[in-house]
Amino acid sequence: MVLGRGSSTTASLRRIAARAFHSSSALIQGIHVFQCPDVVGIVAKLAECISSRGGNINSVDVFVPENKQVFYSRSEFVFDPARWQRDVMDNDFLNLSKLFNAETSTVRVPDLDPKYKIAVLASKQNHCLVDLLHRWQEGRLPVHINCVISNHSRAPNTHVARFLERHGIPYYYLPTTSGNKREEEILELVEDTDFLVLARYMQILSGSFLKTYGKDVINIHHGLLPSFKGGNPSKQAFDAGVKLIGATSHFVTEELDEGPIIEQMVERVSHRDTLQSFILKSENLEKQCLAQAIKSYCELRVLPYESKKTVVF
Amino acid sequence: MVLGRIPSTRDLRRIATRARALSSSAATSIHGIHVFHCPDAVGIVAKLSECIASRGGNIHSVDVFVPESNQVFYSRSEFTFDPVCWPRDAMEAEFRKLSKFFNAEASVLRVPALDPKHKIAVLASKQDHCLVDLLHRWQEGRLSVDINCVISNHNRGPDTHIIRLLERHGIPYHFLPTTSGNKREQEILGLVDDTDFLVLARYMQIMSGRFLESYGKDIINIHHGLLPSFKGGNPSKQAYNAGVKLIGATSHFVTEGLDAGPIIEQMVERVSHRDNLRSFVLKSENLEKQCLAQAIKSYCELRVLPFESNKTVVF
Repeated sequence: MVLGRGSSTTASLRRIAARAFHSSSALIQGIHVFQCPDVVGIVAKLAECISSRGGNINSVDVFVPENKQVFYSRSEFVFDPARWQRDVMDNDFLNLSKLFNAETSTVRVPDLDPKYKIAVLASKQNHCLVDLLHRWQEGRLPVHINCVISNHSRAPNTHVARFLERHGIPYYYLPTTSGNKREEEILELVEDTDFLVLARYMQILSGSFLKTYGKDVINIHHGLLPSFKGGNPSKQAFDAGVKLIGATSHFVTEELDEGPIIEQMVERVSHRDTLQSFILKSENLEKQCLAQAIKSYCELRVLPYESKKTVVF
Repeated sequence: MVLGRIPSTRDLRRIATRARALSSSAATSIHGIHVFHCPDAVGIVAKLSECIASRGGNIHSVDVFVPESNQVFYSRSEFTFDPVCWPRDAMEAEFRKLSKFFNAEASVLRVPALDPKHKIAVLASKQDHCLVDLLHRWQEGRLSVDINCVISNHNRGPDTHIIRLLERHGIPYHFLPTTSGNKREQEILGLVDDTDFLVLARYMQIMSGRFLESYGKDIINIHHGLLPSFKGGNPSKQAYNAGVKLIGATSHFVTEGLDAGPIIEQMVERVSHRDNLRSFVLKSENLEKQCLAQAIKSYCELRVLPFESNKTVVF
């Protein structure tokens, strides 16, 4: 808008400001996830809600299982936060949630909402922890790492210790014994987290811990569940002469290696593989599989399904 | 050879000789496969390849494998040769000499163009898909075996696809219903006596240790799950209930332990929340067909060798 005259009135200035604000206002992304009893009209109402606020839907995943009257959806949309404020959005979706008696209605605006706060637990094995830290450093893991907890000590001149120090992330060494799993202390350290990541943490978390923590815990199991539960699955696989090995990321429940599976990956092995190469391939898979699970989780792609499974959009 | 004059007897003789020479130099070279398994020593590959080359054989492919932890040698060589220059029985004798020389565990030679096809019997139960797939592949010439017979503990009527196919090709179908007390093993042994190996194409009966010992030859089974997961019955349902994201099939040699023998091949496919039990089963059936066919193909091409107590080398 070009003004030919010398003086500008307050009104016209205000108009310019308003136009500048609108024309340069960036659209930002929103994600909404919904789970409720199935009825006719849910998608229509959800879509109407978004579009009535000027939101433009870019992606929708809807899933209604064959034999169950449950509705799952995940929508991605772009919107102008000036037109549709965050708290108003929350309220609009809350209304829909009540209308449909939803089990879950979660909205997330990555640009505005705080990052997920996590704590990472590890034992002696480094590879998953290091991979997560590197991804985080590169900005590929959009979380906030509150702390790292380990039952294994890491000296100050180790890569992990230096890395954490550089980024101001505390490392808590909590050695465990058969009699003491340090759960009380861990609970306190992780109180302010949104979920936990067990990056090859080799201790079993008790039912009491899980109940007290109350939030999701994601684990990586270095085998293709339900094969090779328990210890040293690479060796078990090697001895069994399998032609495929894998890794499984899953939610932690009271039973060992039993919780709902989030992601699984495999790689081929043959007679040419040694126990060493089995382990290397497995470690590679674990890193990828755990990272993928966390990514899916943060993007609100993972939903509980029936008692032991997941929907992963 | 151009003659300006009328050919004499000597000329004619010379022409005939040259024609014969021409036809033998245009002799087709055929394909040979040699598999060798012996204690490791220096010089095995040299001696094997020298043996082949000295007879004018041209090696196209060699797989050699010596495990890290074990002084064992495995090789599989593919070569072409002129059967006139190197007759089959001479070839057999020479490889046998090498076998003795290196105290070989296994020395197997196969010339697909000359040797009889592997003779097999296929055992199946109620599930059709693997049996039908095998028969179709065989019919198309993609499964290079002779099917002596099909044995089943499930009856199939004369107007079923399988019975008509078998009848058309003159392959007998033996219906041997089993009970918990009688697995019909004696009769089966009688029927499969003249086979080189057996294929269990979703045959749901467990072969006893006695049967395996009496038969004495290899038996290849398809398990509709990714061993060692989901051993036993209805692995698709087990997998479905477990909420896995990958399902698979496993082909393996049959031993006395259920679903425990050396694994030959494994294949997977992704599943998700969008799959129901039915699609789990369909995907699994698809994998079983491919996995079993691949195992049989590898076996017939001499690619599968026993490795340690419970594994396989698959070249």
